[in-house]
Amino acid sequence: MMQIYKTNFPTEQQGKDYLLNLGVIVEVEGEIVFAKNTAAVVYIGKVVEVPATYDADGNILTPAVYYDGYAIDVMSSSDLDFGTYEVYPGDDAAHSFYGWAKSAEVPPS
Amino acid sequence: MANLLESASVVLTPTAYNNGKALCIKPDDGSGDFDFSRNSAATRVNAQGLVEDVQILSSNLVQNGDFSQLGSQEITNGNFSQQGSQLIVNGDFATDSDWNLGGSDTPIIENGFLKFGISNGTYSRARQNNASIIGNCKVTYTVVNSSASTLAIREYAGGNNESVPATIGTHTIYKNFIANGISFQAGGVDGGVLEIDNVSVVEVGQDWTIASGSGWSIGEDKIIGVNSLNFSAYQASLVSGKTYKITYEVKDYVSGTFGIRANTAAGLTVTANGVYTDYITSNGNKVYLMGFGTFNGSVTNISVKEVGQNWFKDANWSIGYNVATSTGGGRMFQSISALEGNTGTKVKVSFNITEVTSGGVKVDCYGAASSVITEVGTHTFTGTTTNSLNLYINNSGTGNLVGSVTNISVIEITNDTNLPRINYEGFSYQDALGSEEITNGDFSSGATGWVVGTGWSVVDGKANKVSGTESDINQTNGLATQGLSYLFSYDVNLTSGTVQAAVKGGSGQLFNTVGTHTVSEIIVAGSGPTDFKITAKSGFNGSVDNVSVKEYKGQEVVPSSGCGNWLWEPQSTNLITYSEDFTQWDKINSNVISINETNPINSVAYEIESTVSSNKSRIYYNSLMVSGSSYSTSYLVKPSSNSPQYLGFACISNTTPDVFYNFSNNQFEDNTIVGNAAKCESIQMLNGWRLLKVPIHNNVTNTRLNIYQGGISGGELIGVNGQSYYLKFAQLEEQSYVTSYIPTDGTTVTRNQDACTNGGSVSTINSTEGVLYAEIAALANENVQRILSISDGTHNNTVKLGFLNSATDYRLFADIRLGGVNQAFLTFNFGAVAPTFKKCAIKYKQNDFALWIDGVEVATDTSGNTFSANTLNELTFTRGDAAQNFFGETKCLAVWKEALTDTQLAELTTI
Repeated sequence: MMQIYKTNFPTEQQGKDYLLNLGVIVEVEGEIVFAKNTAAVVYIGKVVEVPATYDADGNILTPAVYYDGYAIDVMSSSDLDFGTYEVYPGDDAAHSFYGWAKSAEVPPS
Repeated sequence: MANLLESASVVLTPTAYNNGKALCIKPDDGSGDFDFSRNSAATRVNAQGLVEDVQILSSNLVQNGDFSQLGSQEITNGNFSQQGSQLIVNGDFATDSDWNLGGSDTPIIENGFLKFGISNGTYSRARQNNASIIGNCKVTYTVVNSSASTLAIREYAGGNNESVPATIGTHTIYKNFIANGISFQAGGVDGGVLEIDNVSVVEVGQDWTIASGSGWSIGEDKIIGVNSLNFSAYQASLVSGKTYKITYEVKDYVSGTFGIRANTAAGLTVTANGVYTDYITSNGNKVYLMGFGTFNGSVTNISVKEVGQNWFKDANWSIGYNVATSTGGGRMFQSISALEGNTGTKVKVSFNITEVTSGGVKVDCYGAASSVITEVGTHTFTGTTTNSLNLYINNSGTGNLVGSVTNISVIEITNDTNLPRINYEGFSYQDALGSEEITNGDFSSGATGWVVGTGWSVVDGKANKVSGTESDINQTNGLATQGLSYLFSYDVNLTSGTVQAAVKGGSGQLFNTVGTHTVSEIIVAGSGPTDFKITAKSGFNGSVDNVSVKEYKGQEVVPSSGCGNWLWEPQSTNLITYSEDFTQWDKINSNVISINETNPINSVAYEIESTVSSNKSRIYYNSLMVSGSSYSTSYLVKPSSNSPQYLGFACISNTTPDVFYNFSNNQFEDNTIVGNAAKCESIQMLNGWRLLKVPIHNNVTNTRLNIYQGGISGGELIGVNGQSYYLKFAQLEEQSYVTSYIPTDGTTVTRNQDACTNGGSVSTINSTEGVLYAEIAALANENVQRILSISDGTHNNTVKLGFLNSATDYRLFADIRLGGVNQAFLTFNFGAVAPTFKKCAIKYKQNDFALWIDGVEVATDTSGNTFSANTLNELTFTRGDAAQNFFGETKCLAVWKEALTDTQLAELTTI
């Protein structure tokens, strides 16, 4: 059964390294591909906490404020342990998978 | 080709699938079927040319959700034109029979005429006692010779005496006979002459019950009121509790008040000529014409049709004008049989709130419920049914809407996320038309059915007009409906002047080209009283023929014109969080207006209108594009009737479009970079919509997706106040080409990659020799290999066929690897062209390898080994292991267990 994991790593590289170590993605002849049980890995990146504001001409007044870290969503049929990197945004999620509820994610244990 | 496929051991074509399976034609025992996974929903273009979610199992389950359904006509003879059979015998006086001749001065029948003898102080009569001559009748007679001063008609045995013309000519009289039979009675001065011929009496006003002395009588295609009364002219055809759309035309208005009542349920009261529409829920079975004792005028074209079918509603709900309107508490509901007893069904529910004065709408679809929504607009939610009740609008005292709602839709969605896609393309389109609305459009029956205006004459099978007074020929038959579109066509032979068609006052083009032409145009019906007409302006000299009017229902796909193929796509994310709701976008000098148009994708469309001239007009979306990265965008757009010439799409810069799209020729034009336009694509969809693919936003420097409109000025687009275009969806992907549409509603959304593997078997694949054939197309030229193969599940022993990595060129290749060592590597480069379907085959045999494409052997290798028996056991859309998935389109995939001859391979791959 497919499960959706939502994660947030300090950096993009740390996230990719973690996924490699966990076997979510694997390296085949120099190419990074999904492992057999992995359906999707989505590198979301920065998530907006407070949107930017603009004037009537579209010029930025106050820049957007982003959450710390780099977000990655994973869909896999494996039981995965992302430790403290796993997050649970529920209905506040910034990303979802087509055909799945916005809040579809492995619940906190 | 067909014979060759019969000898293949595996054949996969885009014909059948299950959740998790792409099913082969051969072998037919399931042993060669492919495993398929995606684990997400996806969209495709179906065989009808509609963009749909592959998880959608049903069409709209709600019946009459837009409240536009009309029942059958409840009124007969609503235009009062019906005439019965001839009730007079020997009306032409061909024989001296059938007439009862009498009176003090008995008339005679002589030489084909009825001749009255007239003397002062006496009377002379001719009569027939037909029991069917009673009630409302149309009487015509011709006076051929007359010096008489009086002529009267009355019932056979006397009674309601009515003076009628005794002057020479043909006369028509409408009379309500209160007793059987008819009697002509003449009188006057001595020596007077009165001869008449061609007497006719036919029944009129059939199906209507009209009380004597009520002030109502039948006239020429109308009912006439003279201080007419209430509840005294009616038909009994309604059902209490049902709602009806009632339309009628008031003519010849002089004074007073008129209305129609559904039994005693009130409706409009009108005091002027015009065509009126009313919606009334009846409380009985009668349709009453109401004159209030004051009405002097006439009424015709009465139509009564049921609306609101399939809905049950409390008294506060009413239905009319294609919406359901509530005045407060109370509910409306309907039963959906497909959801009865099927709790746990996933449904997508949408509805459009068109007006809110107070309260809101809560839709509860068998337990899948929305919140109470109070905003005007289209609203959509998905949920899972939990009970076996009904689809409710404001059940159990929720909502308390004072306002209106329409376009209620429920679509069943499967939970299956591993459904392969058969995607269709290459459609031809045709107009979807209703039935013919015009009778005698070729004038073969003269002017029958037409109202012919001043200066028109119908001769020799066409309608002719000479210059003079502006006038029209028309048909008003109650068949035109305000707001609907009609395809109006006619032949015109024009010598001079101008002619113009119209539907209920909605005008077509002013046509003034000399010569013989066929004018064909789509006209939106207005609100005028005349249904269909052609007006000759005062200077028009010419003729009109072959008039045809049919409701224009938009476009439809020509059946079987599209071609289906398997669509295998990579993972992609739509980075726009509101891909269909452009009110969520920012706008500058623009209005964003919701419109109701559901094709070719069942979502709301928006009209994007410029509110400025001599300045930029745009809408934009602030995305999370990363500076320096490359993106592709796609849009579904359509020009309005007052459309800008250009759209401009800007991502690289915030202010200057990367490329222009020209509505006038459906072509892209370069702006910031030469060559951008050639990479873009405009694809025709249903009803004038076009899918624009814009994969050229490379090395962006801002985070905005901008859509400009207007005219080009110095490399910029400048808006024109009032111009607009329609927009249905937008997609932004971080990759070099556009993929299928991914709807979003509040988040970015990812469609997972398609994975089709594990087809064939060791029994259907020969390792020592054989042929792998595929008819395939790449999605784009890109710098990765995309491969399908026969293998042992690894990349060490594999026969590969696919697209070679190139960001610019379309390259195909084949590769045979034995024990991880290449035995043959065969390529062909089509150059820097857009990918198209190619029929490709790789033959593998000891020291005999050949790549065939489109009937040509394009590469060979005569040195190399093949595999030992039973090594290869799997057919897959990868290179053998999990890498280099085949992303592209596939019309056919087949495997032969023997090396085919060159003749066979040429035949197999020939286009």
